[in-house]
Amino acid sequence: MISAREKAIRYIMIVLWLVLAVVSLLISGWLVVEPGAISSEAISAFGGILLAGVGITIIVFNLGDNYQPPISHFLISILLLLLGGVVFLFFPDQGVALPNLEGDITAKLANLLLFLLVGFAGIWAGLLFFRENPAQNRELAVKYFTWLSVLIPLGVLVFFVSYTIIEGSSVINWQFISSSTNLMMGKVGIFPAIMGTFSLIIGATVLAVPLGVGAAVFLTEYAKRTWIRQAVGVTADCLWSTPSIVFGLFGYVFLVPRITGHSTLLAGQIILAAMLLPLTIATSTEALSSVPDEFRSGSLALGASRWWTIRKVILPSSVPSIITGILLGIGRIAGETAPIMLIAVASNTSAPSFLTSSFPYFQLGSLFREVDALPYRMYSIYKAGVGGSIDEAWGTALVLIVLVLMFYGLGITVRSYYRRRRGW
Amino acid sequence: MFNDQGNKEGILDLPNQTAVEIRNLDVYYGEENAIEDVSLDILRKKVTALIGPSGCGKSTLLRSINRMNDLIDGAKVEGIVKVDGNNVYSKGLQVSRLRQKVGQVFQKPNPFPKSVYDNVAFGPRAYKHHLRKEKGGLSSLTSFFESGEKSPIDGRHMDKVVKDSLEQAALLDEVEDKLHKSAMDLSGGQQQRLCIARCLATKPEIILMDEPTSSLDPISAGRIEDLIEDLSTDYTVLIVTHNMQQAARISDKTALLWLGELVEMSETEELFENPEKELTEKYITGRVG
Amino acid sequence: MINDQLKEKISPRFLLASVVFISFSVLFTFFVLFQTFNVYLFLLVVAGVVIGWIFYEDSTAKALLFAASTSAGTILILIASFLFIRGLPAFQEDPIFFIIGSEWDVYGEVYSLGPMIWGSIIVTLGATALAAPLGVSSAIFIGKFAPKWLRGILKPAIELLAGIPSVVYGFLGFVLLNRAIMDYFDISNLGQYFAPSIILGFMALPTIASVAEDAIDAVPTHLEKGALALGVTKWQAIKEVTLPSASSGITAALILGIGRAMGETMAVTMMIGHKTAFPSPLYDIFEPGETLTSLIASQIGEASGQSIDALMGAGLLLFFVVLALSVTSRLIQSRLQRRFRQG
Repeated sequence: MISAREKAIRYIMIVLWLVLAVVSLLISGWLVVEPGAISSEAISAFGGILLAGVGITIIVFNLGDNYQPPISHFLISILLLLLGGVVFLFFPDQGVALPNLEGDITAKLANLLLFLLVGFAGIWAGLLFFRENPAQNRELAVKYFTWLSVLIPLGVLVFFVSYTIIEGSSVINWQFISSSTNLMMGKVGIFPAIMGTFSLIIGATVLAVPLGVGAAVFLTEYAKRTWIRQAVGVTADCLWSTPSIVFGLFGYVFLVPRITGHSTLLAGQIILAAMLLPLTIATSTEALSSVPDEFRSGSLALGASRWWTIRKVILPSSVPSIITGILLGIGRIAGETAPIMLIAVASNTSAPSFLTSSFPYFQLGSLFREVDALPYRMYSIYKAGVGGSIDEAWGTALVLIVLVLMFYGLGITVRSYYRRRRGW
Repeated sequence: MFNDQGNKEGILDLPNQTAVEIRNLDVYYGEENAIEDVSLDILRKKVTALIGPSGCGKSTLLRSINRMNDLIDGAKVEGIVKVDGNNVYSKGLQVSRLRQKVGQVFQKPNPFPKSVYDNVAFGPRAYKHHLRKEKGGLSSLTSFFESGEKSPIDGRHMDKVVKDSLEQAALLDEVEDKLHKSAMDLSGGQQQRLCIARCLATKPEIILMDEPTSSLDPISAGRIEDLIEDLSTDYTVLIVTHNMQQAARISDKTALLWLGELVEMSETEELFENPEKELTEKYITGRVG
Repeated sequence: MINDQLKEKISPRFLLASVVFISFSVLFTFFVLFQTFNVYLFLLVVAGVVIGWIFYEDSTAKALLFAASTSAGTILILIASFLFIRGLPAFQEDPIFFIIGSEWDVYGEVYSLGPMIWGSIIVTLGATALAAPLGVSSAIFIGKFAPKWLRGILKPAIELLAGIPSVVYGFLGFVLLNRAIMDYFDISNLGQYFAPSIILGFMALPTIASVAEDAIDAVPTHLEKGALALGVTKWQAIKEVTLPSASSGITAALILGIGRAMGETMAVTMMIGHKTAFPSPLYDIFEPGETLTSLIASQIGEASGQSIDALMGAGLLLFFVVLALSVTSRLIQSRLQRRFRQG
């Protein structure tokens, strides 16, 4: 016994099917009649519209949970899926070729979309029809589709990283990493950029970490009212989502005239610190609030002051998570280009140096000079035209990716190591 | 003694054997009245048990003695709590001194994720640090450099304090060879005795225990009970328990709290054998609660 | 009564705190307004902190921590106010033309952001169309279907996707994707709206996935278990119970993802065609174009005078749009959290 709703749905489906079939026949017929149009266009138009029809049919069919369509529907959809794939792969120029859509780009896109849609519908239908219980099969289908949707971005990630490794590994050698570019001698090296990136992130870390961890400590240990926590949370969120180019603009109008009037390492460090700060606040707040309250009350009950409790109990037991957050944050800012582009960098400068051979053995002059940085090096190669120095770009990209992955890997290792070890 | 200004009148009119004097105590959590007009005395070097059904305000009463209620948002305390004749809610009282004199052992063992030694030495180190800060000037400046985990203020004296406290808590034999291993690796019963040792290391006079055996197995609980009896020769112990047998076994005096009010307080034997109030009898025979 | 630790007379602690606070404020104001950094005031602040640390360690620590907690707000206010001061002139002359006009000509000194705003919208829409379904369904898989060990791998892997620097994405996209699209679709220009929106989709995906995953995770499992106890399948329980409860969190994730895509700079700058005009027809995603971010990034280096003003105006617009998106997202999230805390 089927319900009236399902009956209605089936009628609608049948009508849709008929309409689609008629329309596709008409179109293909029109195309066939049209002189000189008897080509793959006709096939693809017919196929594409039929595919759409099947997709819609299947979706409509599956609206009712208790209805079990015969297996032949599934076979048809698989067949049409294959056909769609053939059309898409072998006649990329044709598409559904609706006559009023000039320009084959749109047709190609429509073809691509149709292929994806029908592929989806076909696999879906397969999973639905092979088993007895449609509800369970639907769960299986969802599971596979969501799994697929994780695999796609991961596939992109793996592809990008491995492509960079393949292209870049032939460029990288000791000389490339440890020396600077000397055009007279035909030598290419990115040492100043590596040192510049390190100086930028070290400075940013030194500035941002005390502020960020301090803010987190204040929020979790002292601020009693929730609105203070929320206010700082919201500002940190806003700061985190502020576009990186806006940070650059801000540095350009605020910091640069207040430091030397031209690009300096210091300005870059400060702006990167401002970008690192919200991440540090967020991760440290999370780390500190995961410290059990028993530790706090235990320490305070022994007569320790708030600050002593923080210093001796709370901070030591949350340090691994805080460090993880900082490392991940550094991984983020290490590759930032837009903020430092305007305020801190220039290509082919020498590496910043803070150590001298005579007393007092260090100098801060480099803070007030421009640096080179890995991400900026990549951008300047792009701007100069990739053609000439594409090898250098691949090498730089590889070094940059390895650097970022290093920070991420380190952070994740620290996290998983201490998560297993900690006793609460 | 822990109150700089001192509360001179308090000391004079207090009988010497009273360690804690509570008068007309009211505690509110927001709108809720958790303790209603409770007055009682806790005798020096005796074990006093607080019994009553859950949610009757036993732990709240306990926490109002060492001012741990301050940590709870929205908690408000009215009335007088005198420890050694000093009102703990008076202005200018140093809470850290109070808590060092009035130790607390919690329901769940809560050792810090540090070594056994550092756990026990935690209180004394904090105390020394605070003392130097109070003196101010140069000594506090030096304390900044000295207050690390392995600091010179520890010395041999600290070793002795740690060992004595562990000995008193009947734990030294079990942990002597792993003093510098993490306290989180000990068993639950050992952790709770470590917490008692940690509390003893600050040389308290009063020890507050908030259902200290409720998260332990019967054997560990028995050892803690033995330990409490030993401690009562030197310390004033106030223990919250919902286990009436435990109260009968270890306490000298027992108080029954009911919905935030004190029903009855008397010698333990008397309370359990011929209670004055009908409610008490009903509660200890299990007809209510 | 308890917390009333105030003393009636002025304590030295209070005096010290006020001296430090006032000198710090003066120092800060001077730096912001008059571009000078006064070393003596700075030393006064440092000395105050040191003295405070020696004598009143607890209160000094608290004061310093409080100061740290205001840092994020201070920076945000500084950014907003300086962008406002520098960006407003561009809007003052003819705000409507500046926003919806169709011409950006540096030589003719005609500036309007219409094409760039349109470009940002197209690219962001494209990125969202890719990232939203993939991100949300990844979140469902990671949050509900993946076994625990797989979850431990997938979550950091998705994080890593956000970690690849945008300049690397831009370079890879430029070298691989732009060319591939040009060849496959047989079009004549290298940069278009289409390619960067695909790359941006993958860059915004981790944000969507992780925030949506948090939202799905935050739904108490007893709700779902209750449904399972009635005999429905796991997916039915997720669809009927978990996803509706998490829907506002997922919305927040999408808004945040849109904000990310809109603010992303380098990848777009390297992949788009840099043509400051509307595409024709308007929906032609294969024409070269420009977005707000790529406009600023590519032109600020050579800009001067009036064009700096116009670029600042673009920055101001971008900042406030993204700010509004992220505040909205945050509001939705906090409302969600409140509901589950009460329920």
